[in-house]
Amino acid sequence: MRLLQLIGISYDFFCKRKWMRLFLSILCGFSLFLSAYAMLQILYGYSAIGGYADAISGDKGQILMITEDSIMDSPEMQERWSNFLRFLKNEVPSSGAFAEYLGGFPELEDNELYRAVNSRQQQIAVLREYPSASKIIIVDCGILSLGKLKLSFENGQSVPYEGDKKVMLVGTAYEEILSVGMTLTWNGEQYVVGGFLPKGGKWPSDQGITSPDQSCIPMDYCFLAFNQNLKTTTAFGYRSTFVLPDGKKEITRQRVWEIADAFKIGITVKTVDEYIQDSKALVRDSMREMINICLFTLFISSFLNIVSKLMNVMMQKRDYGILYAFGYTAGEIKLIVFFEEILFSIWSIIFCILNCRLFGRILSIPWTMQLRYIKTHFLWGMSGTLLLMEGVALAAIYVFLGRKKPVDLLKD
Amino acid sequence: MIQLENCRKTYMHGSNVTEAMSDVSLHVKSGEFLAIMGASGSGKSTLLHILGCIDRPTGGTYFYNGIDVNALSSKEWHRFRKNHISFVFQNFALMNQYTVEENIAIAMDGLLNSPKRRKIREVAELLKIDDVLYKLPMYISGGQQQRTAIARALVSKGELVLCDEPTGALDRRTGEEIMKVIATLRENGKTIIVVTHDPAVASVADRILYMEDGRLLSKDLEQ
Repeated sequence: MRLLQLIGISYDFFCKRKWMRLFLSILCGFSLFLSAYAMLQILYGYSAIGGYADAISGDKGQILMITEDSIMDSPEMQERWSNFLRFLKNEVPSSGAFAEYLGGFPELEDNELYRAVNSRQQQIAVLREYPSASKIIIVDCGILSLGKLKLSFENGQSVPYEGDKKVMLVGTAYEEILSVGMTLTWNGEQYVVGGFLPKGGKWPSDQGITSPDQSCIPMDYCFLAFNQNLKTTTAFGYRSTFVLPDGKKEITRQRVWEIADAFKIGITVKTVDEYIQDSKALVRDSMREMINICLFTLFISSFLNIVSKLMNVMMQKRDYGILYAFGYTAGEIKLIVFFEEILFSIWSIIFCILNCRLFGRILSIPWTMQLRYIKTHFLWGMSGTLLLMEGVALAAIYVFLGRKKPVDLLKD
Repeated sequence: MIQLENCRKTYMHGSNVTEAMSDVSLHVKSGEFLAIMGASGSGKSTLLHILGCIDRPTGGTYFYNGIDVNALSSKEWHRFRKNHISFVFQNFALMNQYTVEENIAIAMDGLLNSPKRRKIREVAELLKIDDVLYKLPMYISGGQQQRTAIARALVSKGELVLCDEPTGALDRRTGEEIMKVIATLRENGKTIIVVTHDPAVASVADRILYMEDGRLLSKDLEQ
């Protein structure tokens, strides 16, 4: 009963002085937003330079995914790719940077870097932009873009990623074919390659064994190989046939080799381009700089958070003094403050989300606070940070109240 | 009712020790109206805070109806204050965001229900603030605010009412009215101790004690 009464008082206190509380909640919400943003950026920064990625997912690092705008041409294709991405995410958990959400693929969440590009130059630009990506998936480039990519290599241009980086290219063909992958032996090494399923065909139930009439292997087999650190490349073609590792199945097509040749140049040749090193260093430096800025932001926002919460308490310290004079114990007053802080925090978090919606776009982070784009570990990290901030603020309030004598609380 | 023996209170500010009250002995009978007078800084408010269990003395003994108040644990001390003492402050000490009725209810245990509302109304009628029960303190006069504070003391369980400069923030005429109201508290079985530097206020009391530099100058001096 007493507890109920205390909660009632907290609620009463909270509901009164609306405008001041509104102002403080906005201030507090903004500080939480800054903290959340800074923390996300710090995690992003750490992931981009690899440390965080390694720490949380071992050898599984960032994924860079490049695809064509045209993939999203039809709802049917969108759904097909949605399923593909869902599968991909389960099989290849990633950590690192965040999706650049360009209006398609809502299934692409936080850590995959996603770029829809239509030209070779754009593809190269994207790859250069993310030299730290440890896994690269290029979707649908076989038919639409890979040929152009080959030309670019012949002209002496190279894509700046390391030769031992895992790369998976998954091909699609419109209407009749679903994208799949399989392994083949190429020059004595195993590769994951693209494969196809004719329209209306079924996936073989046994992983790794291709049905002769379907000339394909299941997609999960492709990912299995991908995750087992097999070197990967791709081959594309229309109802093509591949040599499988066990040599049992063989169907070939000239297009496959053309593209495989092109791919061999692009993927298996160790790149020693100085640009790679420069850009990696550039990324590391810029990330470190960003992390420092974010740490500073975190410090400022924590300070703002504590100040706004302290102001909230100071605003009614006299009320606490009155309660004290009329028999409420220090513990009960602390409990009232605690309940009130919970209410205040809920309001602040609402304003924090509103801030994210408002300023997130200005800061070019449309994904901010959209929980579906934040993976579990980030969510835990964020929640932990916010809880820590709340805890620190509450501790500061208790220290403030503890240092005040009841007599002082009663003064105006 | 109250037996205070050789009570003292010192404050530490770093290495500086300030003696706010020294060697104060005081006896108060139940139902008595006592006024304590003195200049600012004489220690009268410190004495009031110790009597009201807002502060603990550094030394000496404090017995209230045979209870050794200094020996009470922190929890018992708060409970004791809740059950035996109520206050009327110079600045009224009302919660600005609460209505007059809600302010009075603070001194009552539990949630505000119909019997409590009835009791509050009775007291409000007695103190002539029944017409402002649902107003916020900022919309009523200083006199009405102090009447609210008195009503709050009246509805509380505490039989000891401590008044700290109750007319300090009021004009003379309103102050006189308030003192008359405070005097009527005795009819409700309350013991009243008023701290003031205004002789006119003290003159209403049965007995006046004077304080200077933390010491009581007169003991048990009948008016």
